[in-house]
Amino acid sequence: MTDVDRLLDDILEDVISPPLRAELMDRTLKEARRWKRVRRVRDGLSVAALALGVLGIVWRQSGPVSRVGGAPPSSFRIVRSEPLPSSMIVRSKAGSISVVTSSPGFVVVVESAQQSGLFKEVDDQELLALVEGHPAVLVRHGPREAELVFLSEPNDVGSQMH
Amino acid sequence: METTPHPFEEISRLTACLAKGDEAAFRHFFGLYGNRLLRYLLVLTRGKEDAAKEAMQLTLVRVARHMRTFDSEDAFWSWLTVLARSAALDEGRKHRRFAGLLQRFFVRVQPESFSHPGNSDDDLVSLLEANLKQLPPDEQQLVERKYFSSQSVSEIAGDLQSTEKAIESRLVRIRRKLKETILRQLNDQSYD
Repeated sequence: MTDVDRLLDDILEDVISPPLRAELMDRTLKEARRWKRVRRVRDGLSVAALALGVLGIVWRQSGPVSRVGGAPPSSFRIVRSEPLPSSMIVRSKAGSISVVTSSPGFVVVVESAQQSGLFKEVDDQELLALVEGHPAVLVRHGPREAELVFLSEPNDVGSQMH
Repeated sequence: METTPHPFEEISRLTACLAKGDEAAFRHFFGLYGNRLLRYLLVLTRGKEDAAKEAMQLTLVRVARHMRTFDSEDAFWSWLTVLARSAALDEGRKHRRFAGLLQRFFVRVQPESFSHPGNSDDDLVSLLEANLKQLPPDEQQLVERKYFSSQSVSEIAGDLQSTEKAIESRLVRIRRKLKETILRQLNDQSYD
């Protein structure tokens, strides 16, 4: 240290007094300790991540491990199958359903068809001819509505037919 | 007789230990570079003591946080000055925000200006030399004896037929006067 440095240091000594210097030092050391912990944790996490990565690569390459006897890994994969549990199996029984059979002898087929000649429409004259011998009169109320009235003696009960 | 070299004598060893968070290394570093950093910051903050103190704290925290190994002292000091400038700038911004707020509402406050010293020690040494020449002859003589002739306080007191306490008090007053003058001149100076 030169003479000028010593003089400058003494001149500027009370800019940062001894108690303030101690406080500066304490805060700096606290920060240094904190970052030491942070670096330690970060390094630990990096190592753990690296180890996991290596383990993952090794596990993938080796494949699944056999359960019996710790046999050395082989170049083929063993697939094991197991029977299904009984709850997953659906069974059906013969005769559990009633079967209905049909034959032509038991069935009557009714057919409807358009046929003429099964009935005959009569006109007014033919209707009056049917009641010949009985005094009757046909009264028309409209084109499709008529009334056949039987006439009776004063001592007979008359009847009407529509 | 061989002397055992100091464990932190080499800059690479010192900085490596600092990077590991070695507390002894930090104390050694503070002893070696504390005053030098402070001088740099005083020039940077144009003699503002409070700003220099705040920037000093911020610089040291950043040293603790970002420390790495250096092979040369020049490279290490250069890196320290970068941290110091960054810290002073950040402190200056905080003050400017506050000054701006005051300016808008209350008084006109000159925001902190930022100097760009080439070599802070040269600046300070120049100012010191100029101010030493301005001292009265008896004060110049006292400073000369104490710092440039390496006389002890007791030797000076004996030569001047005074007491050590009186000599020490005078030296304290001279140093305070020099400090105030230098800091005011730092503030008044403009750097192009």
